[in-house]
Amino acid sequence: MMLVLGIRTESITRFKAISIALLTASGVVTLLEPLIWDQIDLSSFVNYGLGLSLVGVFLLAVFFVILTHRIEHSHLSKPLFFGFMGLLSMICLWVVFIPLQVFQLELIAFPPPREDVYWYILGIVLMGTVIPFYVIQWVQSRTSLLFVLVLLGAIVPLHGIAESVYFLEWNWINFVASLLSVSAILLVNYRYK
Amino acid sequence: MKNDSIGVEGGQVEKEQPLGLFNITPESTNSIPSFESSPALTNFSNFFNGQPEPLAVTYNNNNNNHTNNDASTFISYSDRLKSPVNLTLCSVLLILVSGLWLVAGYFVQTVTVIYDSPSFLAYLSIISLQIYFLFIPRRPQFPKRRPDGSLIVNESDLAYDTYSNREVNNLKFIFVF
Repeated sequence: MMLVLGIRTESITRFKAISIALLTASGVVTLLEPLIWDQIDLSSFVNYGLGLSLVGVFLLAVFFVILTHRIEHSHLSKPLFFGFMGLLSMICLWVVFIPLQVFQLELIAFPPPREDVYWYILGIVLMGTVIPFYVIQWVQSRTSLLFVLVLLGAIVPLHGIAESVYFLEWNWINFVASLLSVSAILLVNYRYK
Repeated sequence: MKNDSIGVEGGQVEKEQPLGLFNITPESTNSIPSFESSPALTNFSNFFNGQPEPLAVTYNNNNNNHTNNDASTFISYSDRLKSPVNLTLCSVLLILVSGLWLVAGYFVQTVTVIYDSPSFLAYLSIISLQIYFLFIPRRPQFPKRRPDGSLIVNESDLAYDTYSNREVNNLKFIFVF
């Protein structure tokens, strides 16, 4: 939120600010669910993985905001920019894994010859990365980064519904988080029209 | 669409005093939010831009007269929202994306029980990102502009878009090379 406001990729109104606040509150409630609902210790809750996840999410947000700002407020061609980004990732990212393999820090292990594993992997690639990124870019180029951000908060109520159906138990924390998220979505939709 | 969420619209710019560090303007259908920021904000913005940003740019809603100032901060944003955006469709698509991520997360959880190799999944993630980045330039889905700076909203109007096509062709040449 600070970065979006700070580098002015978005015109901010009170309602948009409230939407962001609701979404943030929803995220915080979801994050604290294991502490409140499952009653786990704070020491086991705060761990290395959680810290890395938070850092990763923060850096991803910074990346998207600066990227949006850069390509929208310059004469840079978006197709050309994304093309070179693909080229750069193709050249640079593979290099990291070579020393990891050579020095046996992270070995490549190919999947077992089971058909279901390959289907799962194909699903992960398509549903986790390719299609979502394409749709997000498509929508974001027509609306705004904030709109996309708030709408993607729909994962909170969807997760709540899925968990309720899967585990067949009522979780009031999921309900509160879902309520906050849905409020943010409705508010940002209402104010954009 | 209401003016207060768009910002630069209506043929005039009404300057308002910022209410705080961030320029949150009062909600009103008659008032047009100002984009003048506080000095702290401008400095922060200049840090990324490398140059001072201009003030708000007029977008005349009545005679569709674009101020052709690409260096402005919000002209592209207001142009985009002036284009016929189906917000319901966009919302449904993004909610579907959330659902896809949820299903993909379930797949990751399932497959790591059978085949626990995060490094291979990381490689796949990189490959899929490459597919995405290479797919985007071949068929750009961004709002396009004519040489005079106005927005192309009709797909049949793409004959004007020679500049983007030339760039995409150059890009194809780079990849083939």
